Amino acid sequence: MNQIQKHAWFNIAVIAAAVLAMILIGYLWNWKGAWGGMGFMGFMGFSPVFYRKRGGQKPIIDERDQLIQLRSYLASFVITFAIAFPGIVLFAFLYGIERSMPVIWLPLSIGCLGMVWSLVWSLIVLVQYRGEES
Amino acid sequence: MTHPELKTKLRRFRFDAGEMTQQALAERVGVSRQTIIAIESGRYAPSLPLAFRLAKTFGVTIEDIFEYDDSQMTQ
Repeated sequence: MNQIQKHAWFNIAVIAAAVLAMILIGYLWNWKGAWGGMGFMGFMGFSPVFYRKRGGQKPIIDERDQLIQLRSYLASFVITFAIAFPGIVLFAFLYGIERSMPVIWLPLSIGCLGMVWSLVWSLIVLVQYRGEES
Repeated sequence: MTHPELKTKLRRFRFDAGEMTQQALAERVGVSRQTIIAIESGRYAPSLPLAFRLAKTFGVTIEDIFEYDDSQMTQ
């Protein structure tokens, strides 16, 4: 498994932990506070660790790996935007353009879009590397 | 993304060069072993610089290693 595959699996694990945390907090305590579980997504900030030097050698990310990453970023960009803009229209439809909506929807929307972006990126990376030996 | 129009004899050159391993070849040309595997199985077409490095490793030309079959191209 190369560094990009490890990064993808790490993202999926963090997203799963965030979703699990939200469900547990909501079920055991309070559904209004459940969205705090999304804070687990902050662990994705540690992902550069996968690309650090080890034993004096930088991990190899060659031209094929870069192409796979580029395709994954393109797919996650397209899918995230495909969800984001209809979502904006949906909010306007639900609340009307004259009314205001709860403040919580803004961080929630950003958090959910971040989840979608990371999940799609990770899945596309893993699909492109499927069946390969390390 | 497979490239059926591109045939490669990379594996044969590797074996003829004292049964060089995929890892050893990968290190010589500066890519990962997964990339060498993908090139040999036709799942990846290398860039021109990489193709030149591969050819130089075995002391041959790019055309000796890679063969382009026009008839496989879809119209």
